[in-house]
Amino acid sequence: MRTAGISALAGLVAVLAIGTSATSAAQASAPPAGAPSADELLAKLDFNESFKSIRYSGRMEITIDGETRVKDLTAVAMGSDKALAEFTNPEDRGTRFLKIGKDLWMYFPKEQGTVKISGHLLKEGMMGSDVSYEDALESSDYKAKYTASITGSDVIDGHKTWILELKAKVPTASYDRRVMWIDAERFVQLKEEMYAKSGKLLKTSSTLAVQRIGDRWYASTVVMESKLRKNTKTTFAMEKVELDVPLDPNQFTMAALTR
Amino acid sequence: MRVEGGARRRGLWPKRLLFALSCVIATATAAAQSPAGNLDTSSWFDGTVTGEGYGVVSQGFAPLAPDGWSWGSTTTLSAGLGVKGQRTSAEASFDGAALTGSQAAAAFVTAAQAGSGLIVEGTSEDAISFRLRTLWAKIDYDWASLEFGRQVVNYGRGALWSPADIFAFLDLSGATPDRLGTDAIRLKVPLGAVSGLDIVAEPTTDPVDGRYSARVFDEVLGVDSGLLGAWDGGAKRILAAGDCKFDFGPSYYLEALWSVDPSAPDPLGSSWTRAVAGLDWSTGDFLFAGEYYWNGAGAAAVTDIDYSFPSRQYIFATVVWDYSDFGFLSLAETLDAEGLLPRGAPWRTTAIFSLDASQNATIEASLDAIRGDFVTMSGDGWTATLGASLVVKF
Repeated sequence: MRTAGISALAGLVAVLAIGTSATSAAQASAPPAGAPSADELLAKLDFNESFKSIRYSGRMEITIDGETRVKDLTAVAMGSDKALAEFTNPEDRGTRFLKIGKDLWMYFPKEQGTVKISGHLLKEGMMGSDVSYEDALESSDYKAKYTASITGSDVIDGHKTWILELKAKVPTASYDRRVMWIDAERFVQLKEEMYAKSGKLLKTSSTLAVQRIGDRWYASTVVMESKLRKNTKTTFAMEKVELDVPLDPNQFTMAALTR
Repeated sequence: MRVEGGARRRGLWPKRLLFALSCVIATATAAAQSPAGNLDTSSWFDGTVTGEGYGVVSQGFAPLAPDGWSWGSTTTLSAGLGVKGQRTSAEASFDGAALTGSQAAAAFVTAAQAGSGLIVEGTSEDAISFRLRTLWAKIDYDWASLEFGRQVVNYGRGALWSPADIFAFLDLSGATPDRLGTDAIRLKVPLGAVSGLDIVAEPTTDPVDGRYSARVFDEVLGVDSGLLGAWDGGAKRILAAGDCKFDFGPSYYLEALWSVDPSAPDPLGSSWTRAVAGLDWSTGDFLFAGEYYWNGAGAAAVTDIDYSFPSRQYIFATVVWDYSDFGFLSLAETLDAEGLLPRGAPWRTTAIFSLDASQNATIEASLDAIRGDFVTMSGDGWTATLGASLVVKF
């Protein structure tokens, strides 16, 4: 039962979030002076985050009470529905995840077997990280699940940001409320807070590095912290990123997962 | 003294010839199929070093342990080498161990079980063991993949029992079950993104005595499902199995295997069924799982794959507690439910404490208590093993 980790892949969140088409359903709410509409802001955020495909290598550092564990992985994704990731660090080498739609499978190389991660395990943190399977599976189609409004502005690390609030409008949304700080020039998410229905702060994410590829900006290093656990954080850094590369659709199959 | 386990269930192909054949075919195919004509880039070598110490106390539990206290240790080196090209891949992995005391004696018992694949040499006080875990080569195409050699054919969904898992030998000598490889040829044909046909041939010196199967799997209305048909040449029996897993709150899984001797005067009368039903559920930092196993044939149909559970009914339950982000504590209970009445059924309780001590290093401590003997279905005698291990991966 406790094989290669009932935990997840913080990196999978980045993989799965990329390539989505988060069109907006901005809701009427008076934005600060000079701010774009919520629709426009989400569309620009979407432009940066939407790719037909991506391939990259990444490193996830899970820090708990000052101790750090490192996980290395490579990943490919096509659109928002398909992703395949494989761990390459010694402890987890060969362990793979496959996402198709809302389903997630895990492959254990020693047992040469696959398990579908489902149901009650989706809320578990991945590989001991602060990112849950549910986080990884949730589509970034905010329009379908949230109403959006711009509620203010702020400055983060010298960058002006617009504060975008998302309120859940369907019970399947992972969080009741999300607050995002969007870079006003580069339209990249620099910070996010995720709240429960009770108003309790559940998680935060912060962008440590932003990289430009072509005419897009994207967050290449992100830190996620669970506020339900003390002294923990997960840092994910993407390297060797290739966007809109031709990918074989057969990579996103059970056959490829067990290859 | 040398004991080598598993002559019957292991393919008797010469190992050196098989490995050489694997390398030749893998290399030739890679050269032919790779657009660049070169073997690709991905290869790896890794392994695990495990040091374990055990203290055992037993009473009337011969032959696994003498009465009173005994001690033993195991130092294991597990290593693997893999090569992966664009169309081909190959892997070899093994376990080698130095054993002392009670661990040496237990290893000889394991090695004597057909299908274990364990080779032990030495005495019941000091011994070394070796097990070739995998040795396979694979050719991948978009429309099929072909794998041959020693590989783990794992159809199981259960935490402990899996009737549909007709190829993998279940090694219960450790605190947690381990499914081992088999010498086979395996053809997998994808039929869709999550569906496919899986054909396995496990021949022996006389192919007529081999085991051959075909399994189809898919996700149907959210239910992960599989159907299998097989011929067991050694037992001269037809096997048919089904398995599925679905969520309805907890996760549930079901497996059933039906076997019949078509040449028997009364084929239906010769048939038997094995089945398992299980579920798992988690809440907070706790994970729960339970299984019920029905062995319709009882001891009469025990084979080398499933020698450990000849009784008719068993129950398994486990709870895992993530006491910290880097560790867990688990407690598992296995019970021969058939022997509950009258009292005296064998049971096994295993507690494991695990801590991720540092990058790539894990410390574990375990307490494994067994009453009676599951194989003989006797409730007499008992043994308790306290173990500690350090596992380092590289």
